[in-house]
Amino acid sequence: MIKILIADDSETFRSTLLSDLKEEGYQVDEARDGLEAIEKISSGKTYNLIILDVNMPGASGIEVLEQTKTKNLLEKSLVFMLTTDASIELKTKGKALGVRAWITKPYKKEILAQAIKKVFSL
Amino acid sequence: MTTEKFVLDLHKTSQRTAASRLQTYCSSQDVLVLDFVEKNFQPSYKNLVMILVVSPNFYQSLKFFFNWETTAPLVERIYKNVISDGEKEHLIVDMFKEVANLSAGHIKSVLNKSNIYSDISLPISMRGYDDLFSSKSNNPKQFTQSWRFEVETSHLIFTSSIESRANLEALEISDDNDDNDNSIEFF
Repeated sequence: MIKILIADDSETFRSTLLSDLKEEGYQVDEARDGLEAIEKISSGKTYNLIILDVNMPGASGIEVLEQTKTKNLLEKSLVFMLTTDASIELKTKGKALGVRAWITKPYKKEILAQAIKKVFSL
Repeated sequence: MTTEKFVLDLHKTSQRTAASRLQTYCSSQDVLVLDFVEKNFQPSYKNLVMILVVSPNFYQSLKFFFNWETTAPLVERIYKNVISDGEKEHLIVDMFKEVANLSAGHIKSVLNKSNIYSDISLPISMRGYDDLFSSKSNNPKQFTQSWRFEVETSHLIFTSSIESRANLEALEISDDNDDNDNSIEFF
């Protein structure tokens, strides 16, 4: 089963995303901010997909990637950014850090589901 | 382009964005937007969520004034369930913080497309009373516009306030083709 970590500081947003992903049959873990995301990724758990917000307290989604990538913790994970920020500058940074897809909030459930199926060839 | 035109365009973009993000996030019916005259501000809202858009030429604050009691039905739409009284205030504030984040993020993108650099803060929330929240100001460099949003049985006040830090006359907002985002880009 595909294991997904979602990191977003909004409880209402996490709740909606969690529910949408579970309905699709995925196993989902959640982090309340960037620091908790780093802790979970560093804990040894393997996630097939990590979905990160950018604008989070503690550490931004980009900082999560920078800190975990240097420790080679993302070798077995694909990364999606799910964020309001669609600036070219940030996308370029994300791409350089290995982000596979950049999804602009608010997302549509079907679009996210299709994106996951596409990257895992389901 | 004049300062007044730029300010008016940014206010309009902000109002449209906030109403649209609120509607989408709560899966609600249309948001009714009414012009609001701030001098008539009635002492009735005790919650505020605010986010900043910061640019070298101006600061902008987006503020949502509301009472959690009257806006609770919006968060119940997200959870598709009745929320217990103990959780309501926390969740409704969280919901408005995310709507503020969605709105500011889109405004940043619009400014970015218009070659205007900006960044956004994290949203913050406060409890208090109108006298504390009021953005009434005699500052000639500050331009504020407010609207009343009505969503089903809920209502709130949305305020966009722009304070110039440098000349705004050279700035122009390109067409905001707001498709409510939902875009995906693979790398």
